[in-house]
Amino acid sequence: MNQTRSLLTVAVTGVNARPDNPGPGLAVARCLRADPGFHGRIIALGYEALDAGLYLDDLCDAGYLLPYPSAGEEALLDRLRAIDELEQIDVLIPCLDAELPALSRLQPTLAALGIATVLPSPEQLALRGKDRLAELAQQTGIAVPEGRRVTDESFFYRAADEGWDYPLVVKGLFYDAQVVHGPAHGAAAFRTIAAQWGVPLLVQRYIPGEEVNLTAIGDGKGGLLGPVMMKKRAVTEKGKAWAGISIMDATLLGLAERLVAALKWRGPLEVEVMRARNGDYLLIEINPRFPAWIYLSTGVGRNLPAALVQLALHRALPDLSEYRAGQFYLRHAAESVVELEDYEAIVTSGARGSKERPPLVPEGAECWVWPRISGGEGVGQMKQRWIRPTLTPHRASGLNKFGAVRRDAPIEAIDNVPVSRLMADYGSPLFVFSERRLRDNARRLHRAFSTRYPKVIHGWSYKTNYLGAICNLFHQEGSWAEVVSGFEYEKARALGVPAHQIIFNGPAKRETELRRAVQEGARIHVDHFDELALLERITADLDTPLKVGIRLNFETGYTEPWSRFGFHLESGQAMEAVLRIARAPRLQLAGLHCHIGTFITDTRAYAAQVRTLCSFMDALEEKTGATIDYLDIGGGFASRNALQGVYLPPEEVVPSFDQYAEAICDALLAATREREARGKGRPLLILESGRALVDDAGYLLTSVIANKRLPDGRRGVVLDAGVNLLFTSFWYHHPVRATRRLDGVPEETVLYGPLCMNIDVVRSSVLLPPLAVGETLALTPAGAYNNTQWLQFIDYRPNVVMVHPDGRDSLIRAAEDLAAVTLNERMPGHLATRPV
Amino acid sequence: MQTTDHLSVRGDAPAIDTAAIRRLAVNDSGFVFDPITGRSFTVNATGRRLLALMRDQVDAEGLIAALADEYEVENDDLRRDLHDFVRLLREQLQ
Repeated sequence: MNQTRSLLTVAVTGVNARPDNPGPGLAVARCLRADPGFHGRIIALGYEALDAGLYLDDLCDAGYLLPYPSAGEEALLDRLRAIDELEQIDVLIPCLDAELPALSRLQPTLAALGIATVLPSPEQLALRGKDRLAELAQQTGIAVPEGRRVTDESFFYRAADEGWDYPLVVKGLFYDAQVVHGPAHGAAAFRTIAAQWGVPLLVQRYIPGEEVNLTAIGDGKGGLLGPVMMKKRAVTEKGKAWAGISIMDATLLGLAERLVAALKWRGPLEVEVMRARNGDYLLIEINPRFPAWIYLSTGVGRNLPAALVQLALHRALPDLSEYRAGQFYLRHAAESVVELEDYEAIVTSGARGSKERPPLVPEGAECWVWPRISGGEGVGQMKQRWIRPTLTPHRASGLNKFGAVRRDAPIEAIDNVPVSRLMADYGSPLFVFSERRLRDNARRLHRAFSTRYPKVIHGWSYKTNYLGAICNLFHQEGSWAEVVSGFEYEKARALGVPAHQIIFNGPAKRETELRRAVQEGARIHVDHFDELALLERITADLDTPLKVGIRLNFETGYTEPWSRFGFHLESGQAMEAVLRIARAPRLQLAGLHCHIGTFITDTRAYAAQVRTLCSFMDALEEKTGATIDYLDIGGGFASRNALQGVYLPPEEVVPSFDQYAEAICDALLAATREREARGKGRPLLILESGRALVDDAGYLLTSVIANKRLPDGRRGVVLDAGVNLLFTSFWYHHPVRATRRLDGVPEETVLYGPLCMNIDVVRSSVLLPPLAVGETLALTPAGAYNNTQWLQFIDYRPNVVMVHPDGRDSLIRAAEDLAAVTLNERMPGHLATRPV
Repeated sequence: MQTTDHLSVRGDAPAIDTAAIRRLAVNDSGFVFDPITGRSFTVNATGRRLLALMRDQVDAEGLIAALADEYEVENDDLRRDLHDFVRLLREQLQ
């Protein structure tokens, strides 16, 4: 390993070193330093001011802070660019799972900057995800402990009834695992891990045995380079090894080789395997990076980080043939003394040890981002502009990950219509919709599906937003109406939608409403047996035949079942409904409907749904001779909004229309191939997406009414719009955008609405710069559910405006006034007068 | 130079001991360290200017006058922001 190399600069992340659970970055740096051929600089990239690697001069030459993954890919890239300008990074070795999706996507951009990486592709990363392990295991013939996704702590109270006996292992999607021994323990672990890493969580069956691990580098062609195996000899409470020994386990090696070959893995990885007491090997997880115990690799003669650097630079690899089993590994904590000025440098500029400090805000960036401190003592000839003085205490845990400062430009105009003019013309608060975005969304959805499946119809989900202008826009784009109540049905008819293009869902249809729908020929989806009985009676009264659909609910394996709606499939209830319809003289079953949930970000859930629907369709057709004309898969596509409790930003977790369409249409084409061959034709596919079409086209513009200081030191800001208008604040962290460039240090802020209720919180924690009274903010996406679920509580609901592609704007719902709000009130005569 | 030993803005705001201001280590980047409490915090440029003034000038009206002289700001805004800042500072110094 005594090759002569030119001076290199290697940047390493994951340089935190909490004694019980260190990141792998420092171990990677130690490996590089241990390589006699390495004569380069090592740059530590941390996320918190207390990440030890930022200060350890014997290992790292400089330290920089990176923005949290929740700040988004653009912020990360800007920061890396700024650091690269100073340090000229040759190789970047990321060591944390949560940053890998973004860095994997950024590989080509980084390469263009001259920063080499050896990382898996985004697809490879997704395939090894903890929630996809079962598929990978099946594909490679490797056993895994049975697992399931859990999004709700109530699972732990019914786990035993559903065959999940304790103990169980509860895992976060990125980090953390706990063995739990009962419902309360499970629920507590769920809350702890979800608070840190978001939902969903993974629950696995507990396998008694001993854990053995392997780390190596995948060469991207299916080969495994320099495998190092370790058996943990002592673990911390978090299950991290603090003592281990290198081993040579041929079964473990063979298993890792199969995985790497199947994935064509590129880059470092760690394979964690449980050697069960019966001798079985069960795959626990695959980590897409070096493990924290990577320093052991130097001891066994295979310095993998050093090899990775060579691989990244397309240089000859060091000899990795040597291997020593029986090398002991012992982790210990060490203390360092840090100068206050170094800590200060990190806190105030996010950098230390570098030649100069990089700008924390890119030149000319129209945004607010990290603190930018400048200016002298400020006594000049001209009066300076006043910027509210701020004081930010330094806390050990740094910034709240879920409220990280995002690098979003201000929204000065919506489709070229200045926000300031809209506010001047229509007042504050104000809802604004972009016609261009609405049409674009509708067309993209249609294109994604119609290019993959021959017969597709979209039903506009009225409950998501039933303002007439919005509905009509979607009808112009070819959408039918999907309604869930008599009111929505009436509204669709009033807008001129023909009844046969109205899908009538909902669990509580009244007789008069059903009677009208039957007479007019709407597509009714039956929710329960009582509705079926009512339809039998109505069709008998009217002596009319009726084609109906039924709503089904079943387990997809990816979502919590919505079992309160429709007929349960697994229990036989759905088939019972089918047979009853087959016996009813005037009813004919024509469609199957199923809505598996809301904000579903795992496209496999839809593929599973479609397969189940198709197999039920085949079964019922065979049993009753009926022909199913259409399958309605409901809605649930996610919008680019930040759901509370999801760790990564929406751009990383929300699939595109094409990704949804790919999963759904592939499954549908496969499941109906035989039917098509039999000459029965493929069923029409109906989609009922609402949120994904309208959310990002809607903006809520609001103004600051007041600033106040809360007893805990945080800033409170009172807005003129609260949960009365932005009902979705209860489940989203709505992005908050300025409407012009704002100066000043961002400060943790609670955004309150105008209601005299404690629950009126628009954002419980968001970093925002100083906001003067009257300052305007834009909350977006805000187009879904708010104009239907808003409350007329103590205040009038405001104007709703649509901006058109030609630059015009129209009022699509006028603000309420006293007359509008009291229109339907009636005054009993004896209450009409008051004593004078 | 004023020699009042405490600062109170708007009467009802918490008072501050000026000796506490003088003990703070404040550097150009806005990093502030309190050697007694061991706490550190960051202030922006305006906050740093304010701390510099408060080392010598502790009377609320005097501070307001000095700041109004240097900055383009409405008197109400200035009073409110000063009140907020002093309150936060006091919490840090306790």
